[in-house]
Amino acid sequence: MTPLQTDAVLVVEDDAALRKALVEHLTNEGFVVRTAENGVTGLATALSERPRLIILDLRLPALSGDELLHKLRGAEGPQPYVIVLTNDERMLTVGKTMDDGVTDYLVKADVTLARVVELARARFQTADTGHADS
Amino acid sequence: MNDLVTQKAMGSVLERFYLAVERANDHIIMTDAQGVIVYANHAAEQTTGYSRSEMLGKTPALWGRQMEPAFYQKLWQTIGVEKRAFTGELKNKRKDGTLYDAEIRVSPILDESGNILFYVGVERDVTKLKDLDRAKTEFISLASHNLKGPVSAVKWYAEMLLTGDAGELPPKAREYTEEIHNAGGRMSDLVGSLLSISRIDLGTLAYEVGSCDIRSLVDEIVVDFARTPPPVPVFTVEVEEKLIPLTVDCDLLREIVRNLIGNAVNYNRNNEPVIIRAFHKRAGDEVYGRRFAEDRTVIVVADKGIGIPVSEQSKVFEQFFRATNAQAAIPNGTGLGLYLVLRIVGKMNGEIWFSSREGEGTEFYLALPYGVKAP
Repeated sequence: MTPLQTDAVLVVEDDAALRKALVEHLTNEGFVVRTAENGVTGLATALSERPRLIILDLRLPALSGDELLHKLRGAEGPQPYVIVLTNDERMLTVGKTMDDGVTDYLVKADVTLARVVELARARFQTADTGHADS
Repeated sequence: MNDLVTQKAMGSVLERFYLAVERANDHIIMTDAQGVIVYANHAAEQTTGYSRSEMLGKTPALWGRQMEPAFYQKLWQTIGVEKRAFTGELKNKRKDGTLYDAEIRVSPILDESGNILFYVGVERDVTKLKDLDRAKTEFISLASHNLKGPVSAVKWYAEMLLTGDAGELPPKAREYTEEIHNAGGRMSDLVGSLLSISRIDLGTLAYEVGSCDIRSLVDEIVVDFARTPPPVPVFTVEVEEKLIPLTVDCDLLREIVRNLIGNAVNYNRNNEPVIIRAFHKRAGDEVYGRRFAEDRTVIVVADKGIGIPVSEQSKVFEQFFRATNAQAAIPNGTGLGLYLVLRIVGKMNGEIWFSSREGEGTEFYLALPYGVKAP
């Protein structure tokens, strides 16, 4: 079993401007960042690279974020933390009931990058002391 | 001779009145004091699909009965008991079974001693208008949603510039970037409010009933406000102990209270404490000038701020309305906050009102029933 890459964050986001902002800011904050611009490559990267944290949009081409999550949770092996980052609060409600494995739900238009970083750090700390694996 | 002319003219006036009603574009009916139809014009046949002979002797329930009983109770209370005209929108059902939206006006016609002689009902088919309105609202909803992406980008890049992702900014560049960042925040507030309003209009606003503890809800909001840049607002919170949790959508209630507290903070003066009180009132008790037939939980948010000018108080809950002194104090409000609050309070079967004196302060009162059913 491939262990989780302890320093890696995967950003799955189809909006190029938002993806770039997340990647560059997280990189500047010291994270190792991988990206995917649709659900299919997002899932493939999540399974091959085994990042410890995924920042996931819900409205994605090819495979939606919640479908990605469902497939990921069905896959064997250690499970990454997932922060859902969406602009659709209605999908957010769907997500809440759908999967308890998601640690944070954030609305892009309301959240600051500082808050995303803060939550990502908190997840990494939990992972260092607790168990990300399920 | 003159009398004859007058009589002739009168006859023709009455005839003209009859024709005016008979051929009017709007559906017009007359009923006796019991609501039994004694006259229906041509347009009434067209809107309802029933012929006059089918309508005469029946009540308007023939094509009505599509609303909750409470709607008709209110109608009869207004026209029959209070003897006032009733205006409302309702759904009706044509003879062929199709539903249509109608705007109705029912007026009691009284004799000199105030007894009801008969009723006149005017109905307009507003189905097309409603469809148009819905299309407009759907467009606003879609547009607002699609604006959220670019708004997020504006806010995030401005934030990156301000936090040094592109290196230290020259002072002027920092100042301008702060303006961009603030504008991004305002856009996101505006888009969020528009989206919520359009969802209420479309009936697609998610309403999830849960148990909502007022104390923790207020504490949470107060803590959030304490995180804002100085001067940090001061709060006095008085929540009655053992206040029963409300059965409402907690997120929406938080939105309401956050809005009220936000206004109190924004329009306050000298950093006086903003007072937040919550308590229980029994059925029939007076609650700041109002009485309720059932128990209520009351939330009060009070400030000692700029107040609302008397001449503008009636407009406070209107869309995009901002009081002149509020605009002067904070130029960039959306004017949607209290409108949204009013709409959500309506969803919760609650009531909201206020008292205010310009230059002295404002108190908002929110009264909510305990068990709020999902709309």
